[in-house]
Amino acid sequence: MHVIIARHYMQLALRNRSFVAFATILIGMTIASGVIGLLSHQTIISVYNITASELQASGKAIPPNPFASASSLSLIKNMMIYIPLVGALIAIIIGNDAVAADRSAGVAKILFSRPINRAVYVRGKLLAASGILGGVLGVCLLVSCISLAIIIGHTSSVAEYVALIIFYFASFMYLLFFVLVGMISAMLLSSRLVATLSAIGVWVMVTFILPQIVSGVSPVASLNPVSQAIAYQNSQFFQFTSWFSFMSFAESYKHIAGGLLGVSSSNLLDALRFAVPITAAITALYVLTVKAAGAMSTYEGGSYE
Amino acid sequence: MILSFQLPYNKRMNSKKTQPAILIHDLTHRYKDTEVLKTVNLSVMPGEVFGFLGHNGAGKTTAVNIMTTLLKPSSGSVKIFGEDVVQNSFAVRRIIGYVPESVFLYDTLTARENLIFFAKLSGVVNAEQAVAKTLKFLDCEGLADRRLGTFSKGMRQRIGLAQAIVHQPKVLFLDEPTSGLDPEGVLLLRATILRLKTDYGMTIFMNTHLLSEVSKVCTNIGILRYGKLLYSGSLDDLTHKFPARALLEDIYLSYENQSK
Repeated sequence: MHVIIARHYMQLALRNRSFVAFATILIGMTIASGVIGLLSHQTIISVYNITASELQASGKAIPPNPFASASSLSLIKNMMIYIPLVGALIAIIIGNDAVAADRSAGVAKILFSRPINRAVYVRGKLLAASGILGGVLGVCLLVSCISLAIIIGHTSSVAEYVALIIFYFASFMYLLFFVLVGMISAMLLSSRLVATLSAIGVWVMVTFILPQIVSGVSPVASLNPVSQAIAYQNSQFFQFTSWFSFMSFAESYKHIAGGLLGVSSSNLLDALRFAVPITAAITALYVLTVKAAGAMSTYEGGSYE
Repeated sequence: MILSFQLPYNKRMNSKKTQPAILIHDLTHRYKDTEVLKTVNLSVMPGEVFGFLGHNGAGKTTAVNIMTTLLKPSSGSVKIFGEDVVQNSFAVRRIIGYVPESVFLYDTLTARENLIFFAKLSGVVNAEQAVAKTLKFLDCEGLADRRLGTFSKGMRQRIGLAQAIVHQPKVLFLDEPTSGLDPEGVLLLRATILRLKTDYGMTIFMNTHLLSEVSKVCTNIGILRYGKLLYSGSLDDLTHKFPARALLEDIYLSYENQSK
């Protein structure tokens, strides 16, 4: 039954102009990320070549090519900013629309007079949303691979491709959290606008405010993998809030994404710091979403499923 | 409980061995402190077209919400062909169809796509075939491949009815089905209701606030006022007591006076 619900929502989503527009923007930004990488690569190579020829002419030693030691994935590092920004908004729209389409249209009453229970309903919607999100990120992965092949002129190493796939998988997990936030807000709040704004409020909290509180970073730096110029960690407040850093998915996503794209260093512990809390949060939100599905029908409490 | 209600209910329950399509026993429902249904007892036999009359706020939609398993009653019981709506809500959902007052389906999908979805949800094995048959029955094959967003109120109502009957339920619940329809749409709906009864033997429970409406299609009716069932029984019995075009207010006042 959940497959029927999933297929149905996929059919609806593909006809939702807002979703198609946002998905196109994310894919466009992935292409832009590649173009920016290509242009910066060409500029640096060009400057390097000029400098190298001048050094050679003056008989001085030529320093190594700066790209020789860097991971080619660092050329598309902008993706780790685009995903938490545009990607999260798309995820909210997908989750919100999956439920709001039924709720605002008044279809929920007809749906819940059919032999489906709330868990199956939520599972179906989540399956569809995951499929759509996976599809969009899959296209982004493909675009990233093509961009890299064009930029560096040859295919990346297997390790780099694996890192790129893990990066997109981590992005998928991160965005799935926002899909559920979008779903649960649409279930609990009858106004579509209020539901969307509430979900965006959670996104602002997770992306900007929480990292700032638990890490003592400035809002802009919360998306930037470069280390802080000024550290606030010595203050007692930030020492206390840093205990809750595991709750800052944006912060842990930034670390793992930076490590995978070769921009900063990250280790297995960073991976666990991201994977464990995000999986726990997704599981908890799923359970809450199933409970919240009851609010969609006129049914108020009791034993109906 | 008033006398005029007790006699038809008991008489019908004792005289017929057939299991009622709908059996409501001491049904009460409260929203916080407001009692919207007050110990309602009612039975509808298979194949009947039952009109449930009452003004806005009488409790008709609450009663239908309970019968369609959307709302759990505060007390009392409702059985649809012997299946309790609380204990066996899934069994009930398999044998009912429901058309809410305002029919909203998915505007970006075509009528056929909408119907296939609801047919599959209801467990129809060959959904495409069932949808084609339903569209043919309702004489709206021409609407099948148009998106619902382009439909008029009347067209929507027909597709709303189609989603409710695509799985050939035993009982069909219609909540104010003629609301907002033009005269042609009303005539078409009446004809369809009668065909559903004769062709499929479907039991139809229809909420309305128009006595003139039920007189065209219903054989038995119930009259609800502020959650209290004032009358349940044959329409013929009622029309003998009141002029054919009597307003609900006249009937209400008459029964209020009787109950005093």
